Amino acid sequence: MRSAQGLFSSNPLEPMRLFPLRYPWAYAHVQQAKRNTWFPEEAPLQDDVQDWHERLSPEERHAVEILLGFFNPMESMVTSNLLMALYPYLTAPEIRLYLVRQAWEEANHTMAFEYVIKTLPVDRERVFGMLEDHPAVAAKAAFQRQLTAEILQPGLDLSTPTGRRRFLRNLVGFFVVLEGIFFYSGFAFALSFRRRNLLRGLNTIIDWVLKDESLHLSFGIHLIQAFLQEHPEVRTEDMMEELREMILEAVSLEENYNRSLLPQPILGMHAELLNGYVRYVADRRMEELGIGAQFHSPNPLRWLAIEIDLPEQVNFFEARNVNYEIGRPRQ
Amino acid sequence: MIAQGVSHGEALLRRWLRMTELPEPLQVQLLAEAQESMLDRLEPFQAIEGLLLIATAHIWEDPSWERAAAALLRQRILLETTGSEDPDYISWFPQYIRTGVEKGALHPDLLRFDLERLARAIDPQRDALLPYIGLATLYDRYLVRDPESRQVLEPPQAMWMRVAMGLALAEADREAWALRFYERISTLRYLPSTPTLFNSGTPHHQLASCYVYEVHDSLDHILDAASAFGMLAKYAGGIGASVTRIRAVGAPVRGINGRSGGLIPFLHFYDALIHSINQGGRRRGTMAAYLEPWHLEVEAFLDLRRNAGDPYQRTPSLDTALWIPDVFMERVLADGDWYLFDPLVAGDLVDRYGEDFRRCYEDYIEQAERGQLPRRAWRKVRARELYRKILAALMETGHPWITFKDSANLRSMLRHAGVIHSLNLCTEVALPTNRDEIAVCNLASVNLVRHLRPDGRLDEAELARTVEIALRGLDNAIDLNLYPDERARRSNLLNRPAGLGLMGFAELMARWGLSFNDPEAAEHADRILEFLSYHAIRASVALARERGPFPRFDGSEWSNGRLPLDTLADVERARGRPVPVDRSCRGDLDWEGLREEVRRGIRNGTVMAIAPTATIALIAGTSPSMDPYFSNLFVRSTLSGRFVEFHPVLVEILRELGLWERVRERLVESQGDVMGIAEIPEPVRRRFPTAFQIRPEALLEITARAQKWVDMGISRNLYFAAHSPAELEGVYLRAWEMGLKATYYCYTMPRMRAEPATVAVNKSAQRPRWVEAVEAELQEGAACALNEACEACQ
Repeated sequence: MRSAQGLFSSNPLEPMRLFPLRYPWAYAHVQQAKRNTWFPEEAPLQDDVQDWHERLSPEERHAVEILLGFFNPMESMVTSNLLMALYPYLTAPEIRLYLVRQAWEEANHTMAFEYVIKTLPVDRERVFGMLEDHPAVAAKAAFQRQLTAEILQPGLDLSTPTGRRRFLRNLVGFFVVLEGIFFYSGFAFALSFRRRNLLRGLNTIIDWVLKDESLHLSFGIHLIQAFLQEHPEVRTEDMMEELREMILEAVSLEENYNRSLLPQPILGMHAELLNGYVRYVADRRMEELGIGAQFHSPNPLRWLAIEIDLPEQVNFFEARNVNYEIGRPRQ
Repeated sequence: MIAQGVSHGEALLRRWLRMTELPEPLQVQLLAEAQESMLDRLEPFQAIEGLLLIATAHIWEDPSWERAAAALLRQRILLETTGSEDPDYISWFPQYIRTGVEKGALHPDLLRFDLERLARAIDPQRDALLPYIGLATLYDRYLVRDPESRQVLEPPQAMWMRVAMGLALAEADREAWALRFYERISTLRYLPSTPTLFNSGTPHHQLASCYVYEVHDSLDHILDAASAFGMLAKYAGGIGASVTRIRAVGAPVRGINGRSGGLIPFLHFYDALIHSINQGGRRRGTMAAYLEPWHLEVEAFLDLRRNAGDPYQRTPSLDTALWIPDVFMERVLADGDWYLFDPLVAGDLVDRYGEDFRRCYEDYIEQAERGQLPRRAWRKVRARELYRKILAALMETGHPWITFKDSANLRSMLRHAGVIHSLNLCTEVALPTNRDEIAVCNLASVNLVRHLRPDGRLDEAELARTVEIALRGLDNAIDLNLYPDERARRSNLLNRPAGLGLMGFAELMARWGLSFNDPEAAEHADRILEFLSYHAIRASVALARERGPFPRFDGSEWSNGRLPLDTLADVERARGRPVPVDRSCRGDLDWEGLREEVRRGIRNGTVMAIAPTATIALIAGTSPSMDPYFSNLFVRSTLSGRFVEFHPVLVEILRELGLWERVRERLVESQGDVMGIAEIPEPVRRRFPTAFQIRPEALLEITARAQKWVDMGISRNLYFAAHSPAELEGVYLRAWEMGLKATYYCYTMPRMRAEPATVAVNKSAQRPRWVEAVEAELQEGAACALNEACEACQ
């Protein structure tokens, strides 16, 4: 029988019985995710290759290598967390449906960055080694790995306050910090090249990843709210303070990373500008979690409106239209 | 990377800002942001690019930054090309032509002009007419560059003059005509098509926009056509080609006693070919493949643009279009059967239209049912089911475009010259082809809003004059053109087609207080097109008196005293049903007099085609073609970058009402949709729907009323807010009924967008609209949710 126990049911091996839905928002996320389906090879990269040879400075190339060296492995860390840390515990069928869909998307992102890394003439060894060799990337990875490890520790019991607090930390750490702060900072940096009409193929992929991540983030915020509703006792001032500290730690990791990414300014971008954006995004995330903004700083990258916010009309013979969606209602 | 002298960098920035003559506060803000971005630490050239980045980043907040960006870019181009922000064209221009010719960038015949006389006519003030997006596009791709160093050689005014000279090369009084062309073009009253702007006056003077050809059913010809397509694409021509004759998969191949792999692998081959040609980075090679929907492989054709599946069965770069005969639409209406044939057994259908096609098609059906055709060579489907599949593919991939074979052929003024086997790349050119003739079309478009008088009305005398000059330019181009293929020269010299179009219709309507939803917009489309058509025909008749009619004039509809409007009756007769289009005329144009003159001769086999003007309208700073504004605030994504655009008339009105500062953030939040912005008075909101808020039927009415007067076609984009196949089914049927020759892109509004970066709309209290929509849907009947679910999960 379908239990009404909420996000966590007693038996994780119970087969999925979807209807009636308990979390219609989760099902809505699944439906939209399907429509957003894309594949890396749809983004042509030959212009990017030309940009790499003819228009990017050595500093810019290096920064792009760091970016790829960060995104590629981190996407797969999300996959692991979804499947190993969250899926065993979250048993509501529509939630699980979304988790596996998201896991597929993260895998798709990994493949997308592989596709870029294997097409652009980057130093592949350096890119693939970034996770170990580049301290600022390694620090971010360690932060995430720790959160997954906390759940995988033997003896985790979700019926205890400690267990639930740990679970909440993981949700916030992945859905809000990694997907909502680390990735957004990376997107902004990548999009700064498109402002100069550079790396348009890579940025088509970024458009798609960003659309996916917006959905993950939205799902994450919904999930966290549902979790807090079902377990109001977790929402203590202590816990909220703990989450705030976690986000602030992440902000400082990201600031360090950006300083290593851009030791010198490049055209239209420098580390402090990007870090201003990180603080702005962090504020937004803290507000979404209901723990109040910290920095109250304005968005220094106003041009992101042009890259992300406004509707886009594509001159069809000149650029890839990313706006078609697949799937349709049945007759 | 880092310049040594910091103070030097700052001094340079200040000097640059002063030269723009922008208001002081804007200059101060630009300088402050430049320092914040550490631009003064960059090399001068990069610093200047950085200033532009700052200015363009603000355009969405306030369009006055657009002027700042344009001023900066103009300075940059002038300095790069002439070395001075205020060049003395009288000495500079003749020198430019001479060195340009020496470097091999310009055509040597330009030296035959009286260069000093032309230079004196150059008006530097006209640079100010160009919007930022126009300047950026010119700078990126249109201005002539040094063949070796790739340095830009000409500023915009020199470009206009170069184009004008190229068009006047063969005129007896070449200076006078160059000056006339320059006058019209540099004031943006009309613009020739992109290939003409690229290549006129250069050694590779390929001026035509479109080439249309057909592929025959033999490997020899498939390869031969590929070679022609490659050469045409190299010189900036877009290609349309009928591929219906290519035999279907499984058909016998006699020469090797084997079986054919069919149509799709050859289309994949054309896709790879066209993808490999990027026209020196200025434009991508482009080609549209047209298929008639009775081809046995039509279903595989519908999948060509899907993003999943065997990559060898896909064509990511090739555009696809269906060339639909009336019989198909009739059978959809009647819910009848539809028969698919292998062209190996039914190939002559390609060369038939109207009644003739119907008889022959029905005959093949009989043969099939009687067992007289090989069983593998035909198949029966339900017409409606195929129609739904077509529209589903269109909605999900934007392809195939829906075009109509019979109305294009029955309304052709060149019926005596052969069958039109497909349209061109942009679905507005309708010309006959055969194995020995590649159809060609030269295009130019009149800018309506540059013909507004101070009292807000159209200056018809000026408009008529512009049409006359533009048409002469088009006729000249036919003789001047560098033909990449002999079959193209042959066709073009026999038919001498011209394709005059227009741009700025949406801006004009907005300035007249109308939206496309108002019935008056269709009235205006009708009256304006009648005027343009009348004067285009008149101009071509005048050219015939001076230069003689086109060689194939005898036997053409023109020679029988027929005019485009008369041919609507031919469509009705062939269909046996009325074409519901208003037939009224303005009443102030002497069509009967013109009819008599046409009977005696016309210079051009065709005179009009309404092209999309996707790029030249950006250069001219107005709305493209007869298309509506996509939104009131949106980004246009082109090969040259991403550009913010406002509906200029809305901004003017909001400023006058003192509302601009208050609502601009709301405009970003709403993606340019004003309907929900309560601060804006309702009558104003109603005037500014986004493209998705215009009823598709209203767009069809405007197009049908325009098509009435146009001898070739109209490129018609359609926009759908809902993702409802039923709505699309109705709209495309209606488009056919109203006698349209073609539709073009089908835009559907994405349900979901990425989380906005600059406006806060995703706060925990607010739920994304699409989540609420799905939740509401589920509440209505949770049990049947699966039936409502999309096909992908079945």
